[in-house]
Formats: sequence, C-alpha cells, structure tokens
Amino acid sequence: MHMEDNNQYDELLVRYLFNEETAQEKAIVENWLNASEENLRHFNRLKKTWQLTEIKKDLTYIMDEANLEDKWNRLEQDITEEVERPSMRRMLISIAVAASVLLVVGLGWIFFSPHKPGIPIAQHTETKNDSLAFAVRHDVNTTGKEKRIQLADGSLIILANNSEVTYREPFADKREITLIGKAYFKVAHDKAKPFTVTSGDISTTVLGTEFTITAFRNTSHIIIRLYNGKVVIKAVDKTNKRMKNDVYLLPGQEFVYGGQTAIVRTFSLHNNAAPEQIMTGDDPSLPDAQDRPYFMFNNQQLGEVFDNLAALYNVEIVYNKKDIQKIYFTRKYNRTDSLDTILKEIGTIHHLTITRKDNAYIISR
Amino acid sequence: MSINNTQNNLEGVPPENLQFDKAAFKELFKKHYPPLCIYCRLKYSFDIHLAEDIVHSGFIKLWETRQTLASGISPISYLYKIIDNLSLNTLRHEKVKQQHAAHQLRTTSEDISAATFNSIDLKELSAAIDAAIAELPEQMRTIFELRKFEGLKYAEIANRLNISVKTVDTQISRAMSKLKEKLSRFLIFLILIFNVLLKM
Repeated sequence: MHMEDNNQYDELLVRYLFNEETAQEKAIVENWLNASEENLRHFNRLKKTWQLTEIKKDLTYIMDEANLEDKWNRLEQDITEEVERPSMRRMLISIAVAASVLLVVGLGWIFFSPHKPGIPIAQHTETKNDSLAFAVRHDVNTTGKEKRIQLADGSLIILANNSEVTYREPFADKREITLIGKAYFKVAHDKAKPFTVTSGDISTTVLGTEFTITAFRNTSHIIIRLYNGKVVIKAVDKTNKRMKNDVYLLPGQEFVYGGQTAIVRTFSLHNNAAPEQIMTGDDPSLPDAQDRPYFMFNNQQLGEVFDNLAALYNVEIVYNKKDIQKIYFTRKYNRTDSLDTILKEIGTIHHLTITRKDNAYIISR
Repeated sequence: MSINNTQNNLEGVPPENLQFDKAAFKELFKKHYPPLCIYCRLKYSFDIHLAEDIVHSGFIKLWETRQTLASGISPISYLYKIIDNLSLNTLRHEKVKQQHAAHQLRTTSEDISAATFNSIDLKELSAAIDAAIAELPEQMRTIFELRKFEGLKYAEIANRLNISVKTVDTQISRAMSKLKEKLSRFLIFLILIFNVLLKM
C-alpha cells in the first residue's frame, strides 16, 4: 500500500483508532502500520487529529487567567518553603501507590434526622441480562450499620445505613455508580476506566491520586469536598443552566450546588482524617438549609463543629487544634439558639474556656 | 527581562538572565505554564491534571537550580527537558512506557520540541479546533460529537440516531478526514514534536 492509497483506508484506520475493528481488521492494520514509516505517519495524523479535539476543553481550562493566578500562588508557596515540597511529593506518592481513591458522598439532614428505619436488612438485588453479559446490581443498606461491598475491579464501597448504590458488573468502558445516601469509596486505579459517582444532578469523576469527597443529597444542596487529589464534577444533564462548565476541584476546595448557585469555595482542610473519621465525623454540615429550623452535629470533630458554627453565625472562632484533638461532638440546636449559649455549653461539656473578643471567640483549655 | 522575548528564540539567553528574581519567575510561569501543560498532556497522553502536577514540579526544579544552570541553556528549553524527564519517570510506572518508547525510537531524532511547541499560539489552536468542528455538516458533527463527548460505540450511536452502523462508520471517518485537513498546520507541528526521539 502506498501513500496515495492511504485515504481509502481511513475508514478502517479510524475504526482501529476507536477500537471498533474486527480481529481480522486489527491484524491487517497492524501489519500495514509496520510496513512503512509513511503508513505510520499517516495513522499518526489521524490519531493526533483526534487528540487535538480531545484537548479542547483542557485548553480552555488551562488558559483561564484566574486559574493561572491561583496556580502561581501555589507554586510561590512551594518555592518559598523550599524544604517542604508537598506537590512534588504528592505527585511521586500518587505514582508509587498507584492512586487509591477515597470518595464519600453523603446525604444530609435526612440521614441524621431521627429516621425510623424499616426492617433492618441488607437487601441485594441482581438483575441478570444474559444477552449483554452483565448484571445490574442494586444494594440497599438498612441494617443500621455500615456495609462493605467489594467490587470485582478491586474497588471498595462502604455503604452507610439508609443508603443505596446501583451499578453494573462487570464494568464496561466506564465504572459508573449511582448513589442515594452516603458512601465511602476506595477506588482501584484504572486510567482506562474512569470512575464516576452520580448523585442527583451531579456526577463526580475521579481523575487520579488520592482524595475524599463529601456531598449532601436530598436537601436542596449537594456538596462535594476534596481533600487531596483531583476530581471533575459535571452536570448530569448537559443543558443544566446552573452548571454550564465542568468544575475541577483542587484540594481544600468544596463545590456547592443548589438553589440557584453552583460555586467553588475553600474550606478548612483536615489532612489527617482517616477514612473512618470521614465516614462518621467529617460531614460538612449546614449548607444554608434555611428551610429547617434546626441544625445538628453527628459525632463530628470539634474543630469541624467550630468551623461550621463560625460560618453559620458569621464570626471567627479561634482554637488550637491540639486542645481539641480527638473530641467528637453530637448535638442538635435550634437556629434561634444564641452562639454564646451553644459555645458555653460545649465549653462546659469539654472543659474549655470561651473568651469573646469583638466578633471573635477564642477557645482555650 | 529577556526571558520574556524568548518565544521563538530559546537559545542564546545570556547566563546573567538566569539569576531571575521572583517577579521575573512569575512572568515566566504565567507565560509558559499553559503551553507546557498542553505539551505534556499531548506528548504523553496524561490527563491534564497529571500534566499540571508534572509542570508544577518542573517549575520548582527550575527555581531550585536557577543559580547553577549552565550558561547557554535557556530556562525554557531546560523546562521542557525537566518535564520530559519527569514524564518519562512517571511512564516508567506504567505499561504505556514501552509502547511509547517503541514509537519514539522508530522515528527521527531532532531536538526541536521546545522551540517548535513554544511557537504555537494556544488561543489560535483553541479557536481553530472550535471552527473545524463547527464547520462539519450537521449530521456528521452530531455523530462525531456523540463519539467524542459521550464516548459512545458506533452501534450505540447508530441506535440513538436510528441510522445504520455503516453510516456512522463512513461519517466519522469523513469527519476525521475533514478535521485532519482543517487542522493540518497544527498537526505538522505536533507530529514533528512528538515523533522526536527523547534524550534522557
């Protein structure tokens, strides 16, 4: 085959590029590619054309001036503390460990509100569809405790009480999970098969490295928090007006979706939280659920509680992490309760001194 | 600060310019971070975020070695080199590496990556891709975008649009040929760059 003939092989080559070829065609193409450099070059042009269209959204993202300023700030931080090089280390670690991923998607008030569970059973449904050679699996957990589900690809799901997941197994091109409620995901690394969790209007796709997310559902808000690594969040419905572009989160950022908004903002990062703590204690509480007259903390780290109160009452609460390490707090308050009362109560329970200074509260031991 | 004017002229930056301060480094970063990320993304087929991690590390490395950089090496071509090395180290941990190396070895060995890639205007490239896709006939574009954005298989596209698989096959192939033609001036660059033998 010579160069002038190449174009008539384009259909075959494009099929090959998209893995649509038959076994016989595959052999023909590979043979042809090995036959001459000219052939290989011809194929490369097709391949690069496809890659160019693929990088379109990356181009838009990477040229964003505002993003660039953020990225400079991070670099500046890293070169200022030259001894510590977190991002470099993060990269190397992510390569070495081959990226396990923690993903927690939570259900908000409904999950914590006094909810009478039905009969405590872990229900498991499997719908076989032989012609397509996969099974749709639907796991519902109402046992009152967490349930572990080991997936065939090596990923692990810990499903919270009153929660359910649906997925097909074995996974095809993509690993897609639908979640109602709350779950912790440890995702086995597989670049070729993106791992996506859909909850409500929002899908979250794992892009690599190690991280956790927390989100609400069944309130008007969904919150996705990123602790480490990278995720991309997309609207399930492409015509969704609240969310026209994909959102890439950086560690320490959370994405708040609901009402008329879809925003990214920073939150205070708890670097050392273990998965178990994240499951039980690290729920981002209190998205402005104005429609509810109360708010709750459910076995949350005290630091988290203070951060949330600070946000809720729009004040500053200063504390020393060491003073309140390993203290967890569970309590329900009315929105009308005064912050003074709440803090005084927490102080009494945990032997902390609360000092007020202008618009700030200082917590000490 | 002559580092700013090195877009097409990477060599021959006088050594004294390497003693850059933070402000100059920031300018360098802002100008070259995006193309470097795209370079890394395309050359090694990394997702954009891994590319970003690598480029970020590359800048840290450049900053650390800014005073000891050999004279005659421009910081920009040095950056491209660091990024190639970091990328290859990353690939070492993945099977892709072998495949990649095989492809690289089969082709020519001119070290023109940095200079060539650096001369591509990303804004222009971005606009050209948009235009090329927009100019496809409607059905062809629909089929192409279903493949591109939703990753559907030919049979799934045929099903969704109620057309034959053969039509999908033909239309996608034609779409690719058209795009290839429209983007040819960028492809020439890219193919030159990415078929270069990497010096390790």
